[in-house]
Amino acid sequence: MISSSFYLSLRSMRNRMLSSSLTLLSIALSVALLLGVQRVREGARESFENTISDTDLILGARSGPVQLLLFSVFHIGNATQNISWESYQKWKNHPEVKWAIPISLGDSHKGYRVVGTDENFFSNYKFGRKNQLSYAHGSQFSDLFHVVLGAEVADELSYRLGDKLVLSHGISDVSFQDHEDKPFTVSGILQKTGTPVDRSLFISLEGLSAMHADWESGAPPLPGQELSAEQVRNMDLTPSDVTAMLVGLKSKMGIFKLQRAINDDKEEALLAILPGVTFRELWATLGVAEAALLVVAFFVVIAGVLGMASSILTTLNERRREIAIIRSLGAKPADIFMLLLSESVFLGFGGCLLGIILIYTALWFSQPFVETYFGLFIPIKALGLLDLYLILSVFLLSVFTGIFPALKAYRQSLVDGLTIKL
Amino acid sequence: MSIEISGLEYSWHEHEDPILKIDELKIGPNEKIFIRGPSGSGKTTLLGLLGGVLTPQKGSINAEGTVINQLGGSERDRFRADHIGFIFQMFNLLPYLNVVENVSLALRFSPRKKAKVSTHGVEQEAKRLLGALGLTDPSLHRKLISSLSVGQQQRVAVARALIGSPEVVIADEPTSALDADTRKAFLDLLFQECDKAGSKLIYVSHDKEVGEHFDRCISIDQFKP
Ligand SMILES: Nc1ncnc2c1ncn2[C@@H]1O[C@H](COP(=O)(O)OP(=O)(O)O)[C@@H](O)[C@H]1O
Ligand SMILES: [Mg+2]
Repeated sequence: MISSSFYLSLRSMRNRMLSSSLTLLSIALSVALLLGVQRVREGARESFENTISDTDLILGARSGPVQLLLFSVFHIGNATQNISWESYQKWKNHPEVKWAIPISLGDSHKGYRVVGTDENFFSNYKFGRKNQLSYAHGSQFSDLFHVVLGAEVADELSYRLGDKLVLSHGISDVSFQDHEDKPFTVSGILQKTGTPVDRSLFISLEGLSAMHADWESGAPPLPGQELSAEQVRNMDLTPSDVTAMLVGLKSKMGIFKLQRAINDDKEEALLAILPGVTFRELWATLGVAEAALLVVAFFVVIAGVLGMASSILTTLNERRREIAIIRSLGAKPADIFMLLLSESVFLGFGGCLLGIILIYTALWFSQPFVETYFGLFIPIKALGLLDLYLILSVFLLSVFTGIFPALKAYRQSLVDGLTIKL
Repeated sequence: MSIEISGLEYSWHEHEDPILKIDELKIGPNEKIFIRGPSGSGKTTLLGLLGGVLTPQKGSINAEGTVINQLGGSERDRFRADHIGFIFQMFNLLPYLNVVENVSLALRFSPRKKAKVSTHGVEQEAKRLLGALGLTDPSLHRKLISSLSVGQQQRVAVARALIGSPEVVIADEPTSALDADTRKAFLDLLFQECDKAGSKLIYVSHDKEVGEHFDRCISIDQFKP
C-alpha cells in the first residue's frame, strides 16, 4: 500500500531529522546553484546583447570585427588606426545614412575612458530595448570644455554638476600625462544604463582637438609652446580623424549593400560590421565558459544526489529489523521498495522546492549588490522552460538514484524473511 | 481457522538438504500450541512458512481451504496481513512511531482487520487493547517506544498482534527477554486476550518451562529430517 509506505518513510525520516535535513540541504543547495548559474548566464547574455541597439553598422579602420566591436561599443582596447575625417564626412552624408555617431578614443580619467563624440550620440544612441540616453542632472555639452559623465563615473568619483576635472592622455592608469592646463566642467550626468556608457566620460570632438591642439604627433608640447585654453578657442578645431562611427540607416533593406560599399571603399581601407552578428560571434566564444559553468553546477547536483543515495544505503543495515517487522504486518516486498524509494522522492522533491526558495531569496537579497559591484543586472522572473527541465531532471535523477537502495532493500527483505538478525 | 500441513519440505538454499520436513501437522481452531526447539533448529523458519513469507519446496499448508503456498506473492502477503498477528522475541516495534501508532500500524496493511475495528474507531480499539493488557495510563499511549520497559514493549506488541482479531497469533519467543515473574503474567494476559479475540495461538520457544502452560506441546525434533 503506497500510502503506508509514504507514511512510514516520512515518519522514519523525521526520526532521522539531522541526517535527512542535511541531505535535503545538500540537494537544495545544488539546485540553487544550478538555477543561480542559469540566472547569471541569462542576465549576462541579456545585458551583453542589450549593450547597444538600433545601430545598423559600425565603421572603423580595417581590423578584426570583434576588435572593432570591443573598442567602439565596450570602450575596451584601442584602434590601431583611425578613420580619416574625409571618410567620416563621406559616409555620414551618404544618402542611405540617417544618422552617424562619431567615436574618438584615446584619453581617460582615473581609469575611465573619455569618448569624443557629438550631439548625435545623445539623440541617436540606443541601448536595451531601444532606450534613449537621458540625464540624471544637467544636459549635454554646450561649451568646448564641457564634459558629460556616465552614471558610474559620477557616482564612484562623487562628481556633481559644475565640478572641474582634468583628463589624462592615454588609457593606462599609470604613467599618463594630464591635460591639466585645460580642465573640463561637468555639464551633465547621465542616467544609469547598465552598459559601458555608465563607465565613460563624453566630450565634444572639438574639445578633444582643443586638448591636443598644442601636442605634436602624440607628444606633449615643449616648454614654451603650450597654448592656453583661451588661445585654443580661436583655432580651427576640426578633427583630423575619428576612431569609429556608429551608423543608423534610413531603411534596413540597404544594410548589406552599404556594408559592401564601405568594405570596398577604394580611398580608405575600412571595415563595416553588423553589431548583432559580431555580438553573437563574441558570445559564442564566451559561451564555452558559460556552458562549462553549467556543467560544473550539474556535477554538484550529481554529488548531492549520490550523497543522498549513500546515506540511505548506510541506514539499510540498521533498518533490516524494521523492514522485517513491517513485512510481518503484511507489507509486500514492493511496499518495502516503495518505502525506500519514497525517501528519495521526498528528498528530491523537497530539495528542488527548497532550492527554488533559496535561489529566489538569494537573488532578492543580492540583486542590488550584484548590480552595483559587478554591473550585472539579474532579473527576478518566473522560472523558464529550461529551468523547469533542469529542476525536473534533478528530481528524476534523485528518484532514479533512489532505485538502487530501494532495490537492495527489496532483495534483502526477500532473503531475510522473518529471521531478524540483531 | 484450522491449519493443516502435509508433506512439507523446506531448505533455505536449493539443492541443500531440507532443514524442515513435516509429514503431517494439524492445528485446530482456537487451539494453543507450543512448539519447542533449541536455538537454530528452524522455529522462526517454520513461522515464516506459516505466515507465507517463505514458500516450501514441497508439500502444502492448508488454512481452512486456502493452500497458502500456492498463492501468489502478494496474495500471501495479503493473507498474512488479514489473518495473522506476529509477536517477536524483542524489538517488535518501530522506534519512530508512538505506542498507539505502532498498534494501529497492523491495520494499515489489512482493510479486513480495519473493517473489524471500524465500529469502535482505530484509536479507541488500540487504547482498549492496551488497557486490557495493563497499559492503562493514557500518557503512555503517546510515548515513543524507547521510553518503555521491555515488558511494556512486549505488551504493545501483543496489542498490535491482536488488533483486528486475526484468526492466528504467531509468537516467536516473546518472553525470552522477560524475567520469570513477568513471564507468567505476560502469558496469562496473552492467553486471555487470544481467547477474547477468538484467535488461535502458535507459540515457539526454546524454553521448556513455558510449554507447561499450553494445552498442546510438541517438539520441533519430529520435523527434522
Ligand atoms: N534468512 C536466512 N537465510 C539463510 N539461512 C537462514 C536464514 N534464516 C535462518 N537460516 C538458517 O536456518 C536455520 C534455522 O534458523 P531459525 O529458523 O532462525 O532457527 P530458530 O528460530 O529455531 O533459532 C539456521 O541454521 C539458520 O542459519
Ligand atoms: Mg528464531
